[in-house]
Amino acid sequence: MNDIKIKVKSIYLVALLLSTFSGCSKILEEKSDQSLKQMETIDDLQALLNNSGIFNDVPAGMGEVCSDNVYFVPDFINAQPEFDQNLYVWHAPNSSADGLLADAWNNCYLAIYYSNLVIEQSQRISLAHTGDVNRLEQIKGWAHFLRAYYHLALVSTWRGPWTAQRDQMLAIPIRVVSDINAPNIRNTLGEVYHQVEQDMLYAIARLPSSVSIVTAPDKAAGYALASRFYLLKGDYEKTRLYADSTLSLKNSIMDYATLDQSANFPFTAMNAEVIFHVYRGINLVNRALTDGVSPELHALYGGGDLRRELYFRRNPNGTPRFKGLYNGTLGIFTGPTTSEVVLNQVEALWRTGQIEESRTALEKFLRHRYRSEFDLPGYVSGAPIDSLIKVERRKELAFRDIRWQDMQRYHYTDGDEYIMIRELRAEKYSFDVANFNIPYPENFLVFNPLYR
Amino acid sequence: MSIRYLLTTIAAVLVITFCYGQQDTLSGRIRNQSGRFLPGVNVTVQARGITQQSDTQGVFQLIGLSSGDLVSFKFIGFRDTAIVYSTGLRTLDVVLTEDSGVIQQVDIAASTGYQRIPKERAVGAFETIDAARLENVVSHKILDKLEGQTSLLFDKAASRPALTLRGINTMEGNTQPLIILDNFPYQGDIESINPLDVQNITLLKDASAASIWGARASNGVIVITTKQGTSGPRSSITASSIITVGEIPDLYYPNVIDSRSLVELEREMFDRGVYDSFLNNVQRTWLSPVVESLFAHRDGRLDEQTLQGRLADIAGTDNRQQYGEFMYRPSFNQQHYVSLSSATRGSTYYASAGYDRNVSNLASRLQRFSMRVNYNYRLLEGLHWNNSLQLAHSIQRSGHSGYPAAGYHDRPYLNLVDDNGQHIPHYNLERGYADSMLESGQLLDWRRYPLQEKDLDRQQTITPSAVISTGLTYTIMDGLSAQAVYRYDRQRQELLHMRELGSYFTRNLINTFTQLSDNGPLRRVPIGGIRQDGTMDLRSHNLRGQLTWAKSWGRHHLNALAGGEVRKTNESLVQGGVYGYDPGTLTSGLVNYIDPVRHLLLGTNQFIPDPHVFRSRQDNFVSGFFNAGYDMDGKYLLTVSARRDASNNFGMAANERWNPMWSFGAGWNLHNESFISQGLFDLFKLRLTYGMTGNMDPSKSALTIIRFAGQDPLSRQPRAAVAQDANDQLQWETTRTINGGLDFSMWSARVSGQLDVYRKWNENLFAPALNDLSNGANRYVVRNVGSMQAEGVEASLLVRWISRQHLNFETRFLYNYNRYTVTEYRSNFDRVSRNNINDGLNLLRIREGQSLYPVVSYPFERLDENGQMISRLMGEPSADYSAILNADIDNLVYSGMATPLHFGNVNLHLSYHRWQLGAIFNWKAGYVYRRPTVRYGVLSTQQPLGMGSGSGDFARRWKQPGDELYTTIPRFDYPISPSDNLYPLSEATVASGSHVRLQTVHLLYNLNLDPLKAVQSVRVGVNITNLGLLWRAGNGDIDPDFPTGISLPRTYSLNLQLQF
Repeated sequence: MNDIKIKVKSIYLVALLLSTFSGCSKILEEKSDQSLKQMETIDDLQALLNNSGIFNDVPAGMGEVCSDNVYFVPDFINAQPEFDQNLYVWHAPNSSADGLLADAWNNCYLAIYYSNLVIEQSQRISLAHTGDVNRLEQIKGWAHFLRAYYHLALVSTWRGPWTAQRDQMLAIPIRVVSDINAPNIRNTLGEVYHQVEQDMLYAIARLPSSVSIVTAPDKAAGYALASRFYLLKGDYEKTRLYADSTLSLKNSIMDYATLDQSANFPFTAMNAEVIFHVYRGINLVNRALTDGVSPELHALYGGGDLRRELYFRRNPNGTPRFKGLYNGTLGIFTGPTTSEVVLNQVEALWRTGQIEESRTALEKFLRHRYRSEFDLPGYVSGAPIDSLIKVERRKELAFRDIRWQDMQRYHYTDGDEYIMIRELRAEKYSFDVANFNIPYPENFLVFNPLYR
Repeated sequence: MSIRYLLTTIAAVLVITFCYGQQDTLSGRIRNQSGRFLPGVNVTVQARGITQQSDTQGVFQLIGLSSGDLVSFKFIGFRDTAIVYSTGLRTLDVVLTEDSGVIQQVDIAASTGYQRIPKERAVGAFETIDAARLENVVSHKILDKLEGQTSLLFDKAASRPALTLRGINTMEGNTQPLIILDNFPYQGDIESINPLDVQNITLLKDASAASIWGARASNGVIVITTKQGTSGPRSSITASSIITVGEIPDLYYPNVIDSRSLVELEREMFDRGVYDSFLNNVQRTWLSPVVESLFAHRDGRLDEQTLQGRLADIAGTDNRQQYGEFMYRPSFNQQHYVSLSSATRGSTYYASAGYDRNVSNLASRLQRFSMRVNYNYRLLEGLHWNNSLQLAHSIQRSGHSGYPAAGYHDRPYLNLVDDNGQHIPHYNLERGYADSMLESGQLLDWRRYPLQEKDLDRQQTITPSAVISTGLTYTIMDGLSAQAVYRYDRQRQELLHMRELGSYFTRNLINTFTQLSDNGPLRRVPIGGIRQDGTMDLRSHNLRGQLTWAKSWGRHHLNALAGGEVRKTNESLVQGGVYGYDPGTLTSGLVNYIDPVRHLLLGTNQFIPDPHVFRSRQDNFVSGFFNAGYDMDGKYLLTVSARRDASNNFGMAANERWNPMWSFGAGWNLHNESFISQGLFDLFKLRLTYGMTGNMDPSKSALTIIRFAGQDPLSRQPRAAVAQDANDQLQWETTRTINGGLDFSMWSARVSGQLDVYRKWNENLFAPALNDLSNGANRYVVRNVGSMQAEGVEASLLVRWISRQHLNFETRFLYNYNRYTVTEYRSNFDRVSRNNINDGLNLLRIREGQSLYPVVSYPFERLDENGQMISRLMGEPSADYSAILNADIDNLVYSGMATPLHFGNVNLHLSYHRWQLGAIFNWKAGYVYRRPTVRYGVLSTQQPLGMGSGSGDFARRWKQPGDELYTTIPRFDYPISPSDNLYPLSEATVASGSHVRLQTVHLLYNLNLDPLKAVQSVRVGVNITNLGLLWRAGNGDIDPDFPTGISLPRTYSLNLQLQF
């Protein structure tokens, strides 16, 4: 009988021991490293968006290097790394020299990845958590803006503007989920532009009317992005509409006559014209600033043009060096500015048939760019409107990574032809706007054979 | 009717199952001639297949005997005894007589942290070492005592894992073996454990041994068991003191360029105008006294004769003499220890206290108090209560910085002290500038005084720690017991880094962020000291419940245990600091961390470093485990083990995917078979195990994890970044091991040994996988795409050549072989030579088919008659350096692994009457290392690392035709030849690391006095450690364990131990 009692006791003991472990699930839910956390609150999402290293510091400039703003003398380019040489002569890089092309691609998709994380998480955050519906909507708008901005940056660099005949062309992968294991499908040019448009409009409805520092987008940034977008899409009516909206919120144009021409960097970062701050260039475009300014570009800046002294200075060997950078230091600036929006408006007015309004707006703008003694009215009314706008746009937006897209637009819309011949290692290469697209990074193709 | 029948049947079954009353039992106590109880004595009844060991009180209990059974008692160091059992004999007192004078090794059971497994029953690969052998090595750190005595590999290279057991099992994960203190893993500072408290250490090497620890056991397990108190009628008190004096290390060992050659080189560079751009430049770059004198002479401020005299003085100065005299000193360590061990009826306890005080060669100090009480008490019949308390408090203080074997501003001719005993100022920037700014009062003194830094720039770490443990063991019935154990670990580390105003770091920082103006200097870092405080707090709760069951049915015996455990660990770090600290008034200054400040010399904008850090970590684990061993007749053994872990680190989805860690094992005790002669083999066992263990990396998670990273410099808002991409495909790293072993002991343990042969597969290793750039993660994403494979052999042999009453001589040989290769690593596509050079020091450029630390070099053919390096390109001699740098990886030379393929040790032990003499030899073979050599590009310009190990080769370079027969070091050219990028990384700099080292020699005198007197024994010992290399492959002066830097100096210890 004692033995049975012992048996019962032992079962009880075992049950006691086992029961202590049943309430253990809570223990497994505690956070481990507490400076690490999952995204739970609006502040978490905000902190991701505040990361300027992800969203405001993204290499660009591949298009600029391929455009007619850049020209390297053979001695210089012959000494550059193989990747840079390939890009310069419009050739595909080989896999071992993928280099910075892949970095630029990756950084844009990194920004898109972060945006997707914020968008997905914002949908999961319940109202009880936030207590501030407005703020959550602004965060969503902000993230959509960034997603639109970087998809546009990718597609406009790698595939250029949208045209009806190229609508079905294979473009870039659209990423709207954060799962790194989600596969890519073939996306066409039309699909990408459509996605950008949707994200952009969603964002515009939610962005705040003003921000304290322009590393974050406000409504003006949304409108400015839209004006850029619709210009690329060829919808000039909407371009004008959004340009007007932007300028109604932010319209200050700096009077270049008041700036210091002798300074190494006459423009400070986040100056009055900057609507949204984005900067950094790939290596080759940074070298182009010092050693690769096309003489033809430089010659466009005439005697009365203040930009001649503010954008350029002389190298020791006499060649021009570009210093008109809106980020206050070395490295190209690529974000939207009021000046760019004004020029979008000017071009949109012209293309929708409002020639006189176009000239008036252009003259008003150029007053801030030319010396007071220069005969501006004569200059503006004297030249044909199309070449005037194109030249002024090229001069104003030099080294902003916009020229490449403009060249393609002018070719597809106006039939403009460009003759560019570059020399590398004693060979000459010529260029054909219609048949060249900046190649995909080799690493990308290894994982996405659909895009070959 | 039927119910009663049923109840009776049940009762009958129960009675039959649980009733032992019909069979005979015999119990008793085993003691030695002095009356001391003997635990661990092997009690065997071969006819019944019973094997037991006496417990801590020397008690044994045998069940199931029949008249005529032979009961034998065996214990190493004692004569075997046996009795014949006859019915009616219930208790028996056994006295064993000693067989030889001194016992070096007691055959101890393996401790796994869950149970003790006697050697008879063990099927896994265990290695044990007891307190007596641990004493052979003098150290205040317990793990260091294992060097030269076990299969652990000690690697002295700072960048590779310091301690490994059976090689490396992971690429990105944790490489350290799991350390168990008594019952639970120990995460605190290993130096808080006083080594003299340790009774024995067990290494769990294969899956069968280690799988009970599950997902943390891939790297092997080291189980440290502390002394619990000896049994016996009298208490014993031990007091010991160990004094260790260490020589000053050999400062002439690092291969640094000599002053004369350096002066010649500086002259030549000066003549070529290399330093011209640095003269009076904006950054105020430092120029050496040689260069300054040369400029002064060129400008006419110094005449020729004075110049030559000055340069001759400089060339004749070797500052190592002064460093050895003023900065280094012999080290002096003291280890004092007293312990009390006692037993009464029903309880045993062990109490100890220790005091360590060490002063190193560089005057850094360590002071440690430690205290321990282990108390085991029998509350009731069958209910035992175990308690343990360990307290430690240590204070560490930093000393001098040491000889600057590598440094831009340090030259071998810069002395510390002048002829009048005054400290010579050293400069890190232009001397004239620093002097004039000091004189004008605009800047603080910008000079450096190396000897004074020790007292002005101090680091102090205070580590109080406590480990408190309590447990209950309850015998529910015969063979079945339940155990519950709880342990609380608490450790704080209080760090203080005080840099007074007088320290170079502080003055340099203040000056760097000073803005000069007409109104006087504006200091962005306030005047005063820089004080940084940090506190690291570790708290850990461990709770385990376990059931143990031991049962015999005739020939069959079963030992099983099962249970669960919970562990919660919290580790937090709080760190802060102030600038402008005044210890007198206890005030500090304000600093602006937000706005950048202009660097005074460079002109760049920088932020003043913000010393505040906050970090906290919570790790929770829940586990269940099971282990069973079965044997028949004591001959045939089977074991199985399994464990499942869950943690809070991974998200619930990952937890669900965890497979249990498991193992199976089988063994055959041939020595118990009738066909094996009893006189020949005391032990002859074959065993085979196969199992899986895991390597859990708490930092990997299935969910997106972000980290907050301070304030964004552009947006001025708090920013966060993704620290970990969500990847629900992540799994655990696993290791499968198959291990075959043989244990034997012959001629009454005259010759005994162990042989293990194993093969391991490390799978699902975390490794960077090349990532599709368009999904936004980095170029490489960590996935479970790596695998490695290893094979190895461990063989140990103990030969007791002479084993008599007063003379014993034994030798212990240990041999290890471990080869591992990376079998899968898909991230390295780069085949360009210059990206695949490997020194075997860091985990870079992992390639399939190689080990983790291979040495890969450029080819080297010879020097030509002009002293130029001739290499090879596609099999042909070539000097096309650019092509060789960019050639395919097939053009490179693979020289071998940087970790030894074979290693082992030999322990000799001789005892004669009261004397003991022993020696430990360590050897390593089958590996290579890269010898540092001179880099002309670095040496000839003003860039950092002007000196450094290897620059001494400058004097041995090719200088004239004919030298190519004697040296491989190419000529020196300016402009620097591109071969400077190849030669230091070529096969000419690779050397074999094979060596034999005499690690330690000890001599002991043992005065055993009358056991009835107060002082029972006095032992005096002398120990010399790091006696040096006896043999190394190839010639040269380099110690393969220390190819750069300074090697360990010899130490001498005097050891006195009293036993009361």
